[in-house]
This record gives sequence, C-alpha cells and structure tokens, in this order.
Amino acid sequence: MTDDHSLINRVIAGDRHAFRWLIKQHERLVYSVVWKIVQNQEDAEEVCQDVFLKVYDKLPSFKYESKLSTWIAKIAYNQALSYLRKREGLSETIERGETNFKEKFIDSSATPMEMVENTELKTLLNRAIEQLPVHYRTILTLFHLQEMSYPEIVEITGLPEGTVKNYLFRARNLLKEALQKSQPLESFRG
Amino acid sequence: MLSDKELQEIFEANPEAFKNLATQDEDARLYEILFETLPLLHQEIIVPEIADKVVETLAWQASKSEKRKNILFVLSIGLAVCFGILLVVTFVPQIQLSFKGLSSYLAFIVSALAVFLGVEFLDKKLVWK
Repeated sequence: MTDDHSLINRVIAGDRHAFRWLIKQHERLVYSVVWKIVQNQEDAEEVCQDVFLKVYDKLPSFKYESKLSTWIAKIAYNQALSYLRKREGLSETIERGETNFKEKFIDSSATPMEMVENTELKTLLNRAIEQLPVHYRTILTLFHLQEMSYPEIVEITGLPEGTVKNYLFRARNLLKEALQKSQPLESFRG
Repeated sequence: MLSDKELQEIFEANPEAFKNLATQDEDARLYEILFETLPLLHQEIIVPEIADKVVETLAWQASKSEKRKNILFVLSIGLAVCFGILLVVTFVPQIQLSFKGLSSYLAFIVSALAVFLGVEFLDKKLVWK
C-alpha cells in the first residue's frame, strides 16, 4: 500500500483499513496545520476529525492535480479557518496581530532575563509562534515544519505567491526580533 | 551589513553560504538558530489518536443512513399498499364489471394456465434432470 493512487481506490471502494492507513499517513500534517490555527487541543481534535470525514466524502472527486498531502492540507487549512471564524470571528487584522506580537515579545519592558527565566529556546519559540497572526504562523508551519514548497503553500492557502513570501518574511523577522530581545546571543551558542 | 530580506533570500537560495555568513553576522546567526530550531518543534507535536474515532464515526454514520433507508423502504411499501387499497375501494364497480366480462373466458384461461404449468413441470423433470 505505497502509492496514493491505489490507496485512494481502496478507500473509495469502501476499504476502512485503507482509510485508517490514509489517516495515519496524514494525521501529523493535518494536526499541525489545524493546531497552529485553532490553538486549542480539544478544538484541534474535533476539527481534525471533521477534516478526515470531509476527505472521505470528497475523495472520489480528487483529480490528482496536486499531491494527496497538499490536497488534504488544503482541506485542513480551510476547515480550521472556518472553525476559527465561527469561534471568534477572525476579526484580528495582520497589523493588529503584529502589534500584539511586538508588545509581548519585542517592545516589552521586561528585561531579557525576566522574559526567559527558566525558559528554553523551543518553549520560547512555541510561545512566540502562538502569538503570530494566524496566516503568519500557518505559512511558517507549512514551510519550516512541513517542509512544503511555495507552490504547495499557495495551493493550500489560496493566497498569491507574493503574499505567501511576504507573510513568511514577516513571520521570520518577528521571530528573529523576539529571539534577539529575549536573550543575549551568547546564551544561544553551544 | 545585509538586510533581513537579503539574509532570508540567501538562506533559501544557498544554505551553505548562509551557514558561512552565520559565523560572521549576528542577524544571520539569529536566523540560523531560528531555522535550526523550527523543524525540532515539529517533532514535539503529540498527535492524538484520530484514526479510530474517524472510522467509528464513519461506521456510525453508515449504520444511521442504513436505518434511514430501511425506514424509508418500509414507509414506501406501506404507502403503496394504502394506495392500492384506495384504488380498489374507489373502482370496485368497474372491477366487478371487468371480472364479469372475463367469466366467459375463464375455462380457456384456466386450461391455458394448466398447460403452461404442465410444460414447466415436464421441463424441470425431464430436460434439466
């Protein structure tokens, strides 16, 4: 059960074991995309289940125009965004999100040592990513954590490539500034 | 001194050159730390058990839809029977009249039926033996 084509055919034919296999193959990708958007474990689990149910329903209409993983990630991205819209209206603009981020991680009056006392680099970065605007953190996750290419991210998010690149640049830049603020560079050196 | 945009572009276009740059430039070093740490965050994500729940939900949905189909089937048979009774009740005089018209041919119909059943019986007994 290696290639997408035979796996999809088996799922469409009603093979539940094949579908379980398909879920296992993609659950990490789906969960990380959904988690980065909804940022709540219970909600993320619920949305992930909805995503795979939708995948099951829509699989017969999959046209093999992209990789199966990209297609599934796109469903996950849209489902999570729609869930977030219902939950909190998704009213925060990119600018407002950036300002919030800067207030918490860059312009804060706390001294670097106060900010990172007993906090490891990964924890700090996780906290910082959670505070990024939703599109920033999703694109960052797809590029750096899922190692997806720009065309794949464009396919998933439906955003123009220029916007994707710009959001990724802004996200990295904000995180770098947060790192710079949080600890003297020397403390990161092994 | 390179700008943030230039540093990020070098990272994407030429990772080796970026590594060298990171030994000399503080901003590049910070980016390097960032880019090295981000993939590690992926390994820390604990994915909950989703497959079993989804497959269970699918099975539950399928049984629900099967039940609904069965109910619909029984209902449609009931409706058809009711409709038939209604037709019979409505057209009783006409039906009686048409049966009266058939009575003179009854002997012919019964004998034709008997011949047909006889041939079928022989067919089963002799030809398909």
